[in-house]
Amino acid sequence: MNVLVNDVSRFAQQKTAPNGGKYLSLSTKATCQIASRNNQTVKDTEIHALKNRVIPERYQRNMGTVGIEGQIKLLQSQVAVVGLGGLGGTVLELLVRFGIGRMVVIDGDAFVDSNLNRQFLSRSKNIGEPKVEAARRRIRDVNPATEIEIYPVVAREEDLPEMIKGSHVVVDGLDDIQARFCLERVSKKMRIPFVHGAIAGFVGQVTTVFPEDKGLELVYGPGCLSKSGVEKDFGTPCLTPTLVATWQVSEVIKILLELGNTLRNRVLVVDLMEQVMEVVPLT
Amino acid sequence: MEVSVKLISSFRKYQKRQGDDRVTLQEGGTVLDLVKELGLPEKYVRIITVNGKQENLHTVLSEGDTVFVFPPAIGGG
Repeated sequence: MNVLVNDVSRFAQQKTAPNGGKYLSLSTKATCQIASRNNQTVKDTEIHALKNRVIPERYQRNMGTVGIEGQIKLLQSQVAVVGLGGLGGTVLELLVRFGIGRMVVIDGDAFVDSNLNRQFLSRSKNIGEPKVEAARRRIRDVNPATEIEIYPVVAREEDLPEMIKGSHVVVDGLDDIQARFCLERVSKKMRIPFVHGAIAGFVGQVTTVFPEDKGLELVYGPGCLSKSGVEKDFGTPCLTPTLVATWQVSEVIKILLELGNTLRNRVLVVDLMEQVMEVVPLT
Repeated sequence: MEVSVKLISSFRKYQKRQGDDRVTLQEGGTVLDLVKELGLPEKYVRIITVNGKQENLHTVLSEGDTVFVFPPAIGGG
């Protein structure tokens, strides 16, 4: 550990933040070198640096929002994303860049051509690749501090507890109502906050459900809507998944860091076609 | 009496007249009466607010109320 302390101090460089403040910075390259030399994970090396007021440069622009303590907490957090489509893939990208320490991703699908208009993990050259594999590669490329656990399966209710255990938040990246109710049920049972998002054309919605809340029942009603509602006619362009995913990630960060107001017992509804945004109380 | 209704998503096509959100109902009319007047598919009317407060199909409306009805989205993939 002393070598680690020395390494962090040795590689740290003084820099000036955009607001003029001075800080000690650790480059991404140096972080990985220190981790490797000391047989530590990149995540633990970053946490160690932050605890010594040395900021891994990759998080420097996070500081004004989450601060050093917040960044440590994010690195110590685990988030599960169920479904890696338009919503889930974007949620994953944002959380990894935020510096979440551990991601659990669950999706049994492989990429098809029609995913290319909106799913950032899909590329012209990886059609046919399991989505969780693309997720694993993306995380490794973007942020080696984030650990990932992948499940290339369709999440069944009986298997979900084992997969999402230890997560601090569960994010809904699913595309049908029954599966969402199932994930909500399991999240509640496991006492994990659940962040719901859904899209249809230029419309989307987000809400956050804590274990004691009624949640999705107040959005969709107690009797489930049919799997293919009128919303299916609208398709899924790339705008609303990124918008709704951003809102979902903001909920995750606020839950993890106990910041601001969440959309608990409220649903945010947005329609880009008409510039409508409503936050509707759910009671 | 006259109420205003805000329609978005798949409900927009049920607006009576383009650019006009007013709907005339009988005195004592409910949200359900409004839904029927517009011809909205009732089973998709899940989120309802009247003047920003969550209500239900049986809520009695008053002159000048603003009603927002929303069919929740399903997609995500």
